[in-house]
Amino acid sequence: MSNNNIPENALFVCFGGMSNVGTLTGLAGLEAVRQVEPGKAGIFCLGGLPTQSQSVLDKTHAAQRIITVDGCPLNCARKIVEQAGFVPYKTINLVEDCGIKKGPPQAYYGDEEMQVAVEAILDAIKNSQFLPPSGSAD
Amino acid sequence: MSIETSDEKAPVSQDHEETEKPRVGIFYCGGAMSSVGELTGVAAFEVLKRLGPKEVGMGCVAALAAGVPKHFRTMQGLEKVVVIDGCPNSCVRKIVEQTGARMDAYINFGKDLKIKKIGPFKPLAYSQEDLERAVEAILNVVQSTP
Repeated sequence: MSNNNIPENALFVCFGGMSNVGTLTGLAGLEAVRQVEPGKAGIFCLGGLPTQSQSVLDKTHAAQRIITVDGCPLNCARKIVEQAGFVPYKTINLVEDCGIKKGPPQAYYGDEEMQVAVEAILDAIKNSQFLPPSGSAD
Repeated sequence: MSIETSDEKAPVSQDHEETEKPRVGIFYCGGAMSSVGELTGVAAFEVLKRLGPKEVGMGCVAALAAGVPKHFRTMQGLEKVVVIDGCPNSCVRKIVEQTGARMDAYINFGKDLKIKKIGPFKPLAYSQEDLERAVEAILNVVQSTP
């Protein structure tokens, strides 16, 4: 855990509901955070960035690194983070980086899709200690 | 949100042009810095499970905020759009209003249902009772006449 009880790695996940991969970012993000040690990573509020929520902005500044997780090639989470003035240390796209096919939303996900997505996020979190933090573009 | 995995896929139609559009669209917060944000997504998907994809479909708030035209248009064309926030920050409502997107009904779990915000970074700290109340509230709004 970094200062002020802020997770070291700030995850910004799409968690959009219009496609399978969008929803999977939210589910896989939660599972990845559950699997790492407390304080290592947390899922932040993506909606708080374009609305300039001071609490969300402050916590994002306090995190050591930012990881964005998008489902589809639109990369909305990445765009929102960058538009808010932050520079992601790592960006993950489930279609482009993990080879998961974009399709209609699903109520359930196969083990393989979930595992691939979780592993990609875990890799970004666990390898973060070996790379310099990205910080803010401010 | 419980992470359920299964070999049995349950496709839900919406957004994709080749599939049928749902009657009602839902924009949910899904922010995970607090319990109520995560609860918006969990409860919305529970409503989707209960009512089915012809009745409800989920929107992409991130796409709305990022200015993706297709996602904006898709939700505009539905019979009703429900907007759900978890906490007083009301981020989804702000994004909808800032973009001029459609909002026919609005629920804020904190203000309207008095569900306690627990955090930070405790996305799954909501109770089963909170989940049931949230689901019931969304069901009532979805199924009420416009």
